[in-house]
Amino acid sequence: MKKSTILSLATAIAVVGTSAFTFAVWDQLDATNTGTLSLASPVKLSSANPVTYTTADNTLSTDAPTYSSDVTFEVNDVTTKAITSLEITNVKVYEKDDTEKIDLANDFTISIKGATGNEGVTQTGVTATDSSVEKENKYTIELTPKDDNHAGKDLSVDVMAKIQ
Amino acid sequence: MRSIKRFISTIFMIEFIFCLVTIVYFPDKVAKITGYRLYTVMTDSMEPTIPTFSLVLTKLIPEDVEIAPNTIVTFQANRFGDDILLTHYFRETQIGNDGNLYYRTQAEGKDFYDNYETKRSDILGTYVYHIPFLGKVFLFLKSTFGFILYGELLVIYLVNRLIQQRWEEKEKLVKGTA
Repeated sequence: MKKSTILSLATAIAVVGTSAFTFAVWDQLDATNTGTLSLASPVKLSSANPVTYTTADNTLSTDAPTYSSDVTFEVNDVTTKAITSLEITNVKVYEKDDTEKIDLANDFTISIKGATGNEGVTQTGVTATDSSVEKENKYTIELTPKDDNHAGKDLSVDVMAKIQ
Repeated sequence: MRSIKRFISTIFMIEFIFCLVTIVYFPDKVAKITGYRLYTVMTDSMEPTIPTFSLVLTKLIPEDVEIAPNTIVTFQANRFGDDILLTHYFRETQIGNDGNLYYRTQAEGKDFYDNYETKRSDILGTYVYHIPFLGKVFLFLKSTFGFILYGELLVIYLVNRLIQQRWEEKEKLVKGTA
């Protein structure tokens, strides 16, 4: 075989090889990855039906009675998200018929405790943090009037919570 | 005789490169001169009739020319704020709520029309022919890697020329000493 023929063949192979390689590298840069996305339901925090605050103290005394009730917050649709805590962000007391819901919480001593079986609740003012969050989280809210300003009135108590 | 052959092949090579460069890099100018334009199909909206990455040859048509229904047309559209070119079936004309005449287009295998409000002025031309996969080669040639390839080919050409020149010089030397 003539050496010019060998050179032509070598050149042709180099051209084809280089073109194919460069094209392949370019083509690799343009990859597509198809994944599956399953949207999870949002985490829901809910509370059961309205509760009634009652007192067991029927004795005649100068001390004001303490009214208490258990409040339950349910955490639903938790799948993979780690929930670190449930915070009682506020306890608001207002007159039942007050559309403006003027807060009377300052007239009460408010206690927030974990109900039986729900330990690890720390209260700070009218807020509390529960560091062990379950599906059902039960708290005992106690209200003691500081004076008799609201004696004989029907009051509403809003307990607000959020998960973190 | 050998030099004539070389001259002709050089002329053909230059012409080929010129045509390729013009078609790839100046398609609008080619379209103005020839009345035809090449497009690369980027989506599967016309598969299997026109596969993805096909190179489509479109015949540009003046605005006053009527288009028969079920013709494959290339038209301009606005998708999410971007001006794009599409090659779909033209199905029928409809009068819109604003009283304008709209050309309803449809992708292959879909039982609904496109949402684009295509006017006659948006339709650039009608489909003539397509070559599968060649559009991807055009995209490659236009890319940065295409320019890298040109450089590589130039190096191969120069190496080839260098070897040939060395051989010619050697032959001359051998002839001179003989």
